[in-house]
Amino acid sequence: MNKHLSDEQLNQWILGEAETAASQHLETCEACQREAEDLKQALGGFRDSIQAAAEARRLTWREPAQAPAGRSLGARFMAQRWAYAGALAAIVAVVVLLLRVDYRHTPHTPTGTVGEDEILMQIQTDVGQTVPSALAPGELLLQGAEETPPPAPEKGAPKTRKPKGGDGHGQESRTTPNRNGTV
Amino acid sequence: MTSMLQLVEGAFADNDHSAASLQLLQNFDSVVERYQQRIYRILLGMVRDEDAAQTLTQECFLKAYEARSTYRGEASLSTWLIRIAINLAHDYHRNRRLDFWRRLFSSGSDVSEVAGRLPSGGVTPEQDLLAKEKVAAVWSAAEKLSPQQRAVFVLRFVEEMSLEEIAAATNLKLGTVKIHLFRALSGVRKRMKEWQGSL
Repeated sequence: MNKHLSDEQLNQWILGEAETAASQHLETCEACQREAEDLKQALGGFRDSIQAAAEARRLTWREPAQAPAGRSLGARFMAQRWAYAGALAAIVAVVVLLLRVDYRHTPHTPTGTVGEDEILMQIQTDVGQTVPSALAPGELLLQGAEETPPPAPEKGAPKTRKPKGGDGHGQESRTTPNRNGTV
Repeated sequence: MTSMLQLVEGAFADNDHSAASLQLLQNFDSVVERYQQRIYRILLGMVRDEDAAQTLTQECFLKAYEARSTYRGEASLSTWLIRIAINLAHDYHRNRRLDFWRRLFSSGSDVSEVAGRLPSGGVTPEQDLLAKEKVAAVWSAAEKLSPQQRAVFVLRFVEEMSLEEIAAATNLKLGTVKIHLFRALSGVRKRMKEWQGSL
């Protein structure tokens, strides 16, 4: 056997189940010997490290209060799970409570009813009007008539007089700042 | 230090002990004395945490004490105890979701610390260091094995049990034990090659 040992053959040798041919090859092949010895040494070291750790450890027993008898590790983890679930439920409850408090303080109008603010706004609008709401369309018509530019004067017709105190630009001119920046 | 006998007597104080049970309790204390190191080694190899291994060792003997009436003597006492220990280690691994908390609250004794416990047998400090690194590579490879493969690996290479004994302790078929061992060894060799490549 000239070829080096395969992984499987080497594993078999480690487990003490190597075929005769593989064992014979291992006796003559230095490369395979080195690989097998390396692995054997590492596995031996693994065993020794655990043994040393076990010998160094003083196995003291905890009282049942700390490690309750009859309660497996799995059961303890389950108990922890319930504790986490309880904590999560408490957090959710607090968040829901906070949201509800916030909702109460936020002004809102119930569906299908007129809100208080809306009624007040309507009253204010009504009071601010110069004419009763029933006559509002008439006022609009009057305003429209005022804003419509007068027809071009016919030749010979008398010129209309500008209103006193006005500059011919209406309300806007009163808010236009002068040179000093004052209105 | 509380003895196992005192502990189990305290834990089962409400039970009505017959003379036979008390006799078993006496024997059980010697069972603990005899097997606790072995069970601890197996559990340490499987869970790779010294504190957890100690807790599980205690749990293993408490469970064995509780289930002592079910022991029929079909398997040897050590095989029976190892089976309980392996089941406890599997339960421990199943709780993956708590891994973060386990690491957070663990005392910090980890795999590298255990690997560093290797007694120095080299001629030079460099040789000792290399040997420790090699062992750390095996620990690292063992970490990547499935819990069942790791159990088989530990029983074979730490406890040096025969394949038949491993099959009995793990409730696996002989062929399955061999497959697990081959895979575990291939993993270890792969990790070793990676480590050698990084040198």
